[in-house]
Amino acid sequence: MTAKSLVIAKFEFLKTVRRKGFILGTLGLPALMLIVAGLSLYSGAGFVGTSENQTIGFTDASGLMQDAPGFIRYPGMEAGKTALLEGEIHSLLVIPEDFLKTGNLTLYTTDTSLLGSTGSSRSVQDFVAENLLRHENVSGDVAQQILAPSSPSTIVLDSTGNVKGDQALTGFLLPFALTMVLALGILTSSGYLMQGIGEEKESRRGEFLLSHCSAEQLLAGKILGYGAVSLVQITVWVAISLIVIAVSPLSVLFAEIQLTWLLCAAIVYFVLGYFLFSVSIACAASLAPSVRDAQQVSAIFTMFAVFPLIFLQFLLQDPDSLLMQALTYFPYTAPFIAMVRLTLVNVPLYQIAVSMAVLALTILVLTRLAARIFRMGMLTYGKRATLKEVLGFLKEK
Amino acid sequence: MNPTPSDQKPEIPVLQVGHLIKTFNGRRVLDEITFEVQKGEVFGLLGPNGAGKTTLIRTILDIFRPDAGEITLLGQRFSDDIKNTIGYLPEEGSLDKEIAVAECIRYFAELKNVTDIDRKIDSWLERLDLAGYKHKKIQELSKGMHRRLQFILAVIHEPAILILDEPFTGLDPLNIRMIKEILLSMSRDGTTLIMSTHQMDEVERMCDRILMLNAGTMVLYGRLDQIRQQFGLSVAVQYEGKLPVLPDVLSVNDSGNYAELIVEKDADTQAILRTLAANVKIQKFEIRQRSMNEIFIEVCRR
Repeated sequence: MTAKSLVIAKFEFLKTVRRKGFILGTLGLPALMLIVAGLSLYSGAGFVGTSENQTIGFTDASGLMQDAPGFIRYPGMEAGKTALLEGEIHSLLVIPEDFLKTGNLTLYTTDTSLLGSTGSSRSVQDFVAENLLRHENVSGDVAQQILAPSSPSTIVLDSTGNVKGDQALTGFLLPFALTMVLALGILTSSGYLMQGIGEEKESRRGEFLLSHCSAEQLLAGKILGYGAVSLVQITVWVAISLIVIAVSPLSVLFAEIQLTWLLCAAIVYFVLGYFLFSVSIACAASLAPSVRDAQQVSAIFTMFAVFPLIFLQFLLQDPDSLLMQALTYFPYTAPFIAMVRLTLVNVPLYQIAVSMAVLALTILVLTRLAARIFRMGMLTYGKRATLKEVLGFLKEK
Repeated sequence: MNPTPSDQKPEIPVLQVGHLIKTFNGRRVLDEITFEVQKGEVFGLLGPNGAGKTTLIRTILDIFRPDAGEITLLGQRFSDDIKNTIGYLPEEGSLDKEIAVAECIRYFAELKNVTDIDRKIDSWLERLDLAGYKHKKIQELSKGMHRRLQFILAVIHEPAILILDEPFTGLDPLNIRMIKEILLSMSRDGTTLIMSTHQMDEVERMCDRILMLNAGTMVLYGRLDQIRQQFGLSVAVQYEGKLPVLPDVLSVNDSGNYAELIVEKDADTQAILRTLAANVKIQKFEIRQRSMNEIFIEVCRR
């Protein structure tokens, strides 16, 4: 790392974080998520509650139902319909005589909205279930457990039968979250990196820059600068998420988090993964004739970031399968697959060691080759470099 | 061709290129290039499009690495410190439009380890008549202003060697004059100028020596006056009538009542004048050294 790389990194960082697009993306996304979450909570509260507007009328030919708050009994269909049409009730539940045999229920409503009908359906289900349990003389505590069953606490045992030090949340949630943050980091920084390099190529600025510094210095500066940009963005997102978690019931779960070796492995994979993808994307972008082409080429690399999602089913079914082991050694999938496997099973230490060694070696080799490709690619204007040309770039001293 | 050694060698050349070879995909784009440039010289790098000028400049700047041969700058092999002593004004390429003029200069000045940046920014902006645009975004500059800003970026670190690729492109006559005056003043202060251009009149006015490339090989190298002498004379004739067949004339560029005659080295110009006088009404007859434009065309056609 040289002083020139730091000058480039600082310049790229400041230039990008001052862009309106960056500020909007960094603050806009969490704001949008908060709005969506707020709306969901607000709507959710509406589903459960039976406010005056949500009062449900019912006619019961089966004789199973008793009166309950929020529910008004009507002697017959006609009386119920009149009340519904006059707005006295939100909807009308019709329980037929043979309900126990057929399970048929009909709900009449004038509310055409999805939220309105969904809320009424849930209220009706709870109302019917409570009445059935009461009819069968099920005690209040038992009925409560049936209506709202408790979630079990999971305790993970290791192969010797002892309770594992890192339980579900500390052992799974945090590394998994780090894997997701890595994917997110790669996707965001690759976007900035591609745009930055693409713009420089399109404006033919590369040659002038290379008269001020070496390709290695330029590449290192850009990776550092855009990496810092991505880090700032992710930090803001994570910080906002943590604040939201801290004021929510989820805060209890995160209180258990400790720094385990799994977390250390996640950090190592994060750093190695970030550098591997940045160098690869920088090369790809330098070879493309325009920003648009750069995005297409770089999409190949960003696809690896979503590999765990594509292979999720196989990964959960058999995390130790030959395919998953192979993907643990392949440098572009290693950071993601290895991390998810680590959270699911006891991956042998040698596999982790080999996987990390392969990653580090790939970065080392790629960085040496990348500077040549980047230097020559930045000077190839207006056309996509052919494979023969790229091989020629690699032969450059 | 054999390189012509410089007549005077006051000190170590600021740039020495020896037997330089550069190949791309099996094609030799620079073939055995050998020349040197002295301190304070204005050196012309000429050649038709695709001759290898840009590749040579990029190799001197260490953007490309040579396959064979050697380049020394100020008597040393290329290094980061040496890079900081070179200024470069490329022919094309635009600057980042979203940043301010001063910020752009600061960035490139920091990359060249310039000290006292603020004072130099103000001084150069004043000199290039851009002081009012210091805090404006680059996108607000006209084409000529943009070119002047590029010039500042090339010289802000007071380079020992300044390489200029078509320096007057996109400039109006007033700006050309401004830049030319600065360049000549820098040259007088000891800065070496290497200028790649197709504007032969500028070469004739500014350059001490030239190197001309064609298809990656050296075709001309030496002092401008010696090269012109080497190519003999030409005759300009303004006339009325029909031009006759003339003795010792190699080629005629006839425009109807004005003709440029390229004559043999030891041509008898008096015989040409006599033949013309006998056949056409002569309004003007001028014997002169061949222009760089004529030499350029002739060498490229060979």
